[in-house]
Amino acid sequence: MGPLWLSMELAVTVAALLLLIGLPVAYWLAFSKWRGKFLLEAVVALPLVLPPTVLGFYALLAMGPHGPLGKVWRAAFGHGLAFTFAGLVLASMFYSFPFAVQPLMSSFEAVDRRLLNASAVLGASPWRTFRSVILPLSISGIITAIVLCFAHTLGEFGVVLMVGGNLPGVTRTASIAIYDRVQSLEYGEANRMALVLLIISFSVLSVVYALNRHARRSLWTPWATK
Amino acid sequence: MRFLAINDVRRGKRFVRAFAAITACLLVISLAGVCAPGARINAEQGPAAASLPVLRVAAAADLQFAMQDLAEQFEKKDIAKLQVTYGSSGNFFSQIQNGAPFDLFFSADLQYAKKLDAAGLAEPGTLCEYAVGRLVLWARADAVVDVGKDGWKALLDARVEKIAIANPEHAPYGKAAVAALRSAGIYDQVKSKLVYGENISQTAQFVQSGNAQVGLVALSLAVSPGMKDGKRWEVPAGAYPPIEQGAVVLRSAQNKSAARAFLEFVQSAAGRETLTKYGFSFAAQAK
Amino acid sequence: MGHEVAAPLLVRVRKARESANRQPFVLDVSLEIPAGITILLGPSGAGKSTLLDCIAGLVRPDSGRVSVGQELWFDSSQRIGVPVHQRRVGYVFQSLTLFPHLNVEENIGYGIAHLPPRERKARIDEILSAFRVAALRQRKPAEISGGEAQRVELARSLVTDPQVLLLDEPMTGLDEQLKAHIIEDLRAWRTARNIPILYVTHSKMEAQALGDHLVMMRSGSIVPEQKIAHQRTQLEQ
Repeated sequence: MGPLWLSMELAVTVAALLLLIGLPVAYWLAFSKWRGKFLLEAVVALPLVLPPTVLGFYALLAMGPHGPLGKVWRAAFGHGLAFTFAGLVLASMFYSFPFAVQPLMSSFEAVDRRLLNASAVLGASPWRTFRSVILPLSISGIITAIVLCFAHTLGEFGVVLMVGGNLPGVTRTASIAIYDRVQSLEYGEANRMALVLLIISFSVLSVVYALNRHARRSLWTPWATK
Repeated sequence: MRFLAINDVRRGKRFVRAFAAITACLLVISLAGVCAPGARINAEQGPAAASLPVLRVAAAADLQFAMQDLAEQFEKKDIAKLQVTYGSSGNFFSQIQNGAPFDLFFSADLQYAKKLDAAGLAEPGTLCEYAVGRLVLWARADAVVDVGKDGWKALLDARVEKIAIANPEHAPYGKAAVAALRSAGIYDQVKSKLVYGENISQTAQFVQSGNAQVGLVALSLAVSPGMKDGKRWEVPAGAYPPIEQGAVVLRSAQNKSAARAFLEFVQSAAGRETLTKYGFSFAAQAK
Repeated sequence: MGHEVAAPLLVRVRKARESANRQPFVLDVSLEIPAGITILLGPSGAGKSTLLDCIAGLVRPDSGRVSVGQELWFDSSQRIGVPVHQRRVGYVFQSLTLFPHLNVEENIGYGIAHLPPRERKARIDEILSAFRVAALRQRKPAEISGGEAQRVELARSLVTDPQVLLLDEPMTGLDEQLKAHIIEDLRAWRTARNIPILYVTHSKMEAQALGDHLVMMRSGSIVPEQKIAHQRTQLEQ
């Protein structure tokens, strides 16, 4: 499996899993009235300011035989977590976590509260209100979250470097492979891979943003007052 | 709804004012930092040192501890101060080719130093082989296998799931590791267990953290404080081509005489004694 | 589908809030709202919307009791508070709250999604024609006028067959002819179903046209009877 394909697979997996986990977290952050909420928001935003190598380093420790992640994984699967694709996915999920939660949270907060009131009054449980009102009106935020996670993971280097072990077909992502080529002075090959990565990323992003525009347009109501 | 609107506007104005104030403060602080770096550096170095040049050294990852020792000793001579950056030799090679501002380059691979010399990026006559690196098999003290006792056999143990080596495509210790494994006849058997570190330092990290059960690392790292309590086995020198480590003073060096002085110190008896302490050896003939 | 026995709405609530200019404001009322339309009049800031929110369950009163007939929706002494979505209350808000991503038919059907499809369709058809918006059923809120949206909003609340209906100035911004139509529809609907309806308005015309009873509020409390009689006379002039 080539490095480019591996990078894409990692990006898609991470984006999908982060969406699943990000939705409930963003929901809680958007609608909770807990006074200490700001603390959790800061924790969520931490990966934004931590250098990827720091994150990767702590991930490496956490995945080790004495670390919390490593112990649980080994007990469940009988082998280590570092140097596996699963290990990359987990580390990348930490790294891109705020890129999922923040756009989702913004979107949820932007939904007109009166619509949520109306939904509740009409008899919809909070779960139904989430499914039928909040989610459909947050498509823009959901798309942004997916795109950001995908793009962020595709370009990830520092974290993968720290916990990947550079195994071809398993943890040798495109960014690592390109770096390897540069280190081996094979600049031509490095250029080629980088260009392909650039083209793929650009195409994916363009398509997604085009879809996003369409989704947002169809919801505009001229007489709606704020 | 009307009540909400008024409060929102009030809160909004206050927020904007606070935000503007914070931004202004940040701008002032960063401008101050930008405009007065000289003052800071001078304060750090002290009055006497204000006149000493600073040598910027690019050093291979396996010199992490040896270079610190050498630098301390050299600085006592009051010729210059040293500022060392550690990393992979291949990386430094690329950077220097693209104008990275180093004065000296200590590579773990003589070939990189030679190439720089051939490209005219080194000071003539400064190319030298300053040490020969040694490869060891290393595991944590609490590892499942005793590499000190079993040597290569330890790698074949089923409990060893991952073996860390440096990336053989561009790291000298990685190339040596593969060569050693092949000459021991076990490369094909252990190939699937190999994981690759970007440089020898990272390789050591993989084993030290326990994620890889065993690793082939530099002796100079294995004797360091963090690793000396582990179990190790010196790979017989004949099993792999010697890791010839070369250095050059760069053309772009700002203080060439100080740079040459340091290189001379490294190759002097005192310098070699230090390097030996860290597990390095020397070629029979200097190149 | 009407209620044989009219179940009155009993409200006794106290809620401390901050008004727009940070003045402390206490809503303290005790009301019995019988079946039929009760007009709730009062200046801005009197607490009318807050009262409606308390009845609907969108705002939790500091203390008090809210009940409809035998059903107890809120009782602070017994720590009972039925969540909003479990109260069968219809609430037409002051500004339009149609779901922009659903068409008219889906909006109206939102509150009765739990009914079997045939019955649901029947009710929707009935109310679409009652409010004369049948032609709009496939359109999205972005594609209908303000007046049409108001009717759809009303229809959406009424189709759920609530026990209590709350309306907060539902005809803001509509022209007279439209208002007259909707008043007719509402009257007809009220006659068919005998439930308490609380209607907040500034408009004398609406008050006269719809009101079976009248309640006035000022600064968080109900204005007593004598004053109302005086106001009523004023209204009629």
